[in-house]
Amino acid sequence: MMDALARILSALTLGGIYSAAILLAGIALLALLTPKADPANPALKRYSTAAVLGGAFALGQGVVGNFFMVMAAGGIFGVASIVTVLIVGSVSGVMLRRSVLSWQQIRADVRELWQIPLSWRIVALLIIALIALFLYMTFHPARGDAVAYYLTQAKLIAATGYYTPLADYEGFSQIGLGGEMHYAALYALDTGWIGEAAAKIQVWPTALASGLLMVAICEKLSIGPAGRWTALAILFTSTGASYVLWDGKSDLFPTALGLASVYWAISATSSRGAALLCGLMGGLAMIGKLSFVVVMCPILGLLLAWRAWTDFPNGSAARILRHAFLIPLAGGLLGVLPLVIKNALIFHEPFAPFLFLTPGATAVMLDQAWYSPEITSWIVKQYPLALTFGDYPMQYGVLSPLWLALAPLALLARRRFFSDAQGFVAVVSIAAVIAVLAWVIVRPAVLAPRYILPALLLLAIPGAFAVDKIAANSRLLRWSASGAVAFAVGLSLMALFWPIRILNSFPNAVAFTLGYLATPPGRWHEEIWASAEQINQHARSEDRVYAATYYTLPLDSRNLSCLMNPAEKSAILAQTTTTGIWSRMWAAGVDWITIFTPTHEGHFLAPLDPKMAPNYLSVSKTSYGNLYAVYHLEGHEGAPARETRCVQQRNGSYGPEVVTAGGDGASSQTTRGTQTAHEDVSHGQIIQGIIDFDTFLLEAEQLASQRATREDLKQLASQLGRQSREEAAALAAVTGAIGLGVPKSNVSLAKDPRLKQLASTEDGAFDAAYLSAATAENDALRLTAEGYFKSAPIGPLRAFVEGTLARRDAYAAALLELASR
Amino acid sequence: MSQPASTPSELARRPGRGLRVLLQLVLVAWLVFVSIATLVLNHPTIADPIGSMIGIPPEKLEMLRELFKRPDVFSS
Repeated sequence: MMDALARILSALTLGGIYSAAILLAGIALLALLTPKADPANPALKRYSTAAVLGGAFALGQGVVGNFFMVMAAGGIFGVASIVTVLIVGSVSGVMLRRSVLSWQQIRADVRELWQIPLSWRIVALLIIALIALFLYMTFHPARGDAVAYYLTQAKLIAATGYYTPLADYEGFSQIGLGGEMHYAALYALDTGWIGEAAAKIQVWPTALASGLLMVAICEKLSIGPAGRWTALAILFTSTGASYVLWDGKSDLFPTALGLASVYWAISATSSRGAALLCGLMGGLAMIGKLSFVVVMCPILGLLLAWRAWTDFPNGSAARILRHAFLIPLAGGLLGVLPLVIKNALIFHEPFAPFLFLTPGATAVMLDQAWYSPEITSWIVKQYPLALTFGDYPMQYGVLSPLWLALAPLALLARRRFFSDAQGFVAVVSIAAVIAVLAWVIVRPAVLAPRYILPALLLLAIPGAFAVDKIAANSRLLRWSASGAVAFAVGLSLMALFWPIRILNSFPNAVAFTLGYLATPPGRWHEEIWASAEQINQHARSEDRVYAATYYTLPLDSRNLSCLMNPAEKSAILAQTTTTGIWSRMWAAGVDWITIFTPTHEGHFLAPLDPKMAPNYLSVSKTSYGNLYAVYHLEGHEGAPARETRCVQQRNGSYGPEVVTAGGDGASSQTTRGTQTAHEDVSHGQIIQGIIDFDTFLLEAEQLASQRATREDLKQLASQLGRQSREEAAALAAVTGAIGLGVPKSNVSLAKDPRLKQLASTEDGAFDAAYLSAATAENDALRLTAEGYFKSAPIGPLRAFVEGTLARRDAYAAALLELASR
Repeated sequence: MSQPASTPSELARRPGRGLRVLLQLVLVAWLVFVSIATLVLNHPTIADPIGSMIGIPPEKLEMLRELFKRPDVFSS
């Protein structure tokens, strides 16, 4: 128990110090960019406490996180550089804090926020309790996407000190990771449970900053305290926000920036600093969550245009144009610069993932469609309800129903709705609706509140306004509105003590979190942590892991740094026999396999049966329920030499290394074999081969659609026979590489009895890989193959190509035999 | 906040305020309706036991949830 308490306090201390440093860095930046005091009342600051604290934290995390990202891309991300940045930020913030904050201001703002009727004070206390409970919930272990990518990628960057893309997520790593870099910094400061808990805690102050910014936006729109509490309630009762508050995902980092940019858009013409902040934070928000581009552009565009329109009578056109458009645009470009620099350094594609310099390259992540046309049509027809009550696949939370409940109350104050705060109440609300409509038009088949969170949270404004202006004039409405808000907050509080919809298997999230806090990760009962613990405990320093799972966070930093890469996996997945799989795994350097059986067992073309291992190899299997299994490969005397191993680099981190001639354990025979293949097949030859094989692949497609005739088969066999060694090698490599990306279940050709028989008689990778590749469309096949070869070294495919060349004639003969039946 | 609060009856006594009171009652009914919908649709683990206690089987509540919960496969 004392151990658990010590761990919690350590995580809170580390997380707290880090958050304070981020806040101080933001305060320093804010102090440099904003006017010092309110000209109308010099004793008070220009911006309220909520605006300064919320804005400073959003700005601090945005600027520091993206600075860390650029540092990682430049290979200078380590404990010393992280601590230096935090100290410089903190000292600057302490020195400049009085420019934007004063106790007098803080006391005045807090007093004002508490000037509410008793019914609203009860609501406020419930909201504070809910926010506090969410801090506790951040100790719940990470889950879902965070375990797959967001925390894992950060852990890998911390482990390597470099922006190393996570295996199997290379393309996805082109996104901005400004938020995730805070995770990386904390992993670098502590690689164990404390660093991970401190990293997850960072989302809580970010959510709090988002809440403060909602309050600040309400202040800016002349919405009183009851309305501000309502806006806070809408944020924290939206599961679209609260799920990502404690599960380890990073969507709230750019959300805070998005809300901050809205706040400063409303005051853009007041100063150059405000205009620059609006653009800078908007740009940082958009690179932090690329889907925000669709909603933030219309919102900021409309707000800035309205700002300019309302200010025209009071100022010169040139000044307004500069403050409302040119400076925000410059700020926006400054905001997206970190992503451009990172992608230029790491991927040589500065404008990825929107625009690629490499011909034919595309970003699959931007072109998503989750539902069939029928379901999409159904969702679009009931969009507000789907956003509020929906439980569609991958939706992952809803917008608080309070927005829907309270917005109609604005009907009773429609005149003030359009006139208050120079019309900005209506403009912000309309901008939010337009932004959501833009998303529905651009991505109707993607329903996910977290993708457009700033726009959705602004939908709280009509309700907050109505509560403030209308409910105050009627006891009935005041009590009804505060009752509805209390009911929603109460339900959210209770929900954490009940089985949560997304955590159905757990009795309640609060108790479950307590269970985690009481025990170290290795003893957590969940299969994913227990299975990884086996590898973490027993793997030797040179061991490598094959992760047949989307979720690799539980692996320790060393194992994560030496995961098998997609090209290496390709050659293994192309094997059609169990013995072939084990042999290739051993040769490639695999010592451990962690497999998430529901999704990845079917990726292998033969069952992973330990009994079918070659004589020189022992394979043991440990099952963890029905979900996870761990395999351990142990070689005996006479086992062939291995191609790769995990080694420690100069900077102390680990990484895979190709074993060269004279290296430990590398036999001369293996080295010669790979060198021969390397001489025969170059990148250039392979890519040229891909282009030349269009006709061949078209015929393969014909086979895939089961329209093949005997004549087709004869022609194919004949063509195969005419191929040069390089051509055949190229085709084999292409099909092998592509074959891996195609799950076994997708190989429709396997249903064709003729080809199924062929595949079963041939003991080679080529057939199955060929069948897999044949199911892909020709263009996609070629482009994907090119992508593979440009990003991956050819080395891991050598053995596969060699084996395929040896079987080429046999394959042609089998085709001819099939055609002659 | 600064204006004095009124009850529906006080408002109703003012000339031409009847419609306003009616609108207030409709809005209150809407708040109650959305609150119940929130409990039923978004918190099934809390709503189902309460529903059972007052004689509404969980299957009936699930039918309502189906309106906003359709299983689907990836289209891409």
